[in-house]
Amino acid sequence: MIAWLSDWLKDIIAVIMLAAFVELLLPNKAMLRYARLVIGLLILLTIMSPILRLLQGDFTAKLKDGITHWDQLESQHEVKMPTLSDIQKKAEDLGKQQDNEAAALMEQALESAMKDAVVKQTEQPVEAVDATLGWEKQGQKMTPYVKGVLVTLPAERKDPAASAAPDEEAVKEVAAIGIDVEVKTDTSGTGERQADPGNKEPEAGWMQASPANSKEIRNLLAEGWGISPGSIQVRQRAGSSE
Amino acid sequence: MEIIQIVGVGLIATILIIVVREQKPLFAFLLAAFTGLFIFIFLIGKIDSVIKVLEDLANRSGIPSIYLKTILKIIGIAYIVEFGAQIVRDAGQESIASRIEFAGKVLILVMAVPIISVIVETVIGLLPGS
Repeated sequence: MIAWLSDWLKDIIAVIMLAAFVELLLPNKAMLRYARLVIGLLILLTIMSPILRLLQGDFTAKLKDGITHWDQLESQHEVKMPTLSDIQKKAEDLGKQQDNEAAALMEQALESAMKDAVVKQTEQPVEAVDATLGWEKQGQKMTPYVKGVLVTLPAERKDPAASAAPDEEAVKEVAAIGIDVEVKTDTSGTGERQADPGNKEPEAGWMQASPANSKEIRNLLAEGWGISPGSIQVRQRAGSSE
Repeated sequence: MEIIQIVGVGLIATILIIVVREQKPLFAFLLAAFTGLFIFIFLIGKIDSVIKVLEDLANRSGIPSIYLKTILKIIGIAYIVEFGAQIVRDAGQESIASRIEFAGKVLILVMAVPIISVIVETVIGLLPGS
């Protein structure tokens, strides 16, 4: 009992001494009233500590929780300004996205323009023009260039060069281009679109277009868009000759 | 003998400020501000020893560390507010100085909120029938 009492008294005395010290340390009178309020509350808490312990158990833990909670609240209220590097990173991301969108748009525009030009100039039906864009570094910025063009001609009806054995398993739609009714065979399904311009080997279902045609188209595209003829590929659907 | 250094710096700065003030009031203010900053930083290390004494006292008597933390925060806020307000006051902006002091008072009161909440909870718990 006496030990407990002496502990309690020691606590009170220590807090009061602390309070006196703080009053000495405070720089001006204006803050004194407010500091005194807080210190007075602390002294009150110390004096009340036996009752508090009786009623609430461990109140210091509660106090600590309260203070940390307040600290967190304060830090939450702080405005988080994005740093310069954050902004730059975001700008870079946005720029990349914009570039990609612009490139996709450009690809589409190029494809339709090329198709129109080829149809107009060579007076041949063209099924599809697939332009592939690549990125090259010019100074600071990446600029797109036409990496490859793949021109697909519809199958001709009477083609003596139709050497590729048509696979009749997957018979596809009738092409809407041209006067003739053509039966298209396509075995490479999804691989149809992703043709590599560097790949000169005709895939199954495809064959090289007649040299005259392909040369004409190549020259046209090379002149009109400044693409190297090597990266232009002309292919033709392997149509059944019947 | 830091006191001689500090008083010397203060005197020299005062004379310089008086000389400069007639021609360039802006430089007089800057000189005053930097002298204040210098003395403040020079003495902030000395306060360290006082704080150590306080910590020692708190540890030995076994009062919760959270009390000491709160009290030290109050002292820190008071010093920073005083310093900033004084510089602003030197520049003649009395209204801004009083706003800074107001902010300091509010922040000190915010420290009291968790303590008040514990006391209020206890008092409510003491009341019968709750």
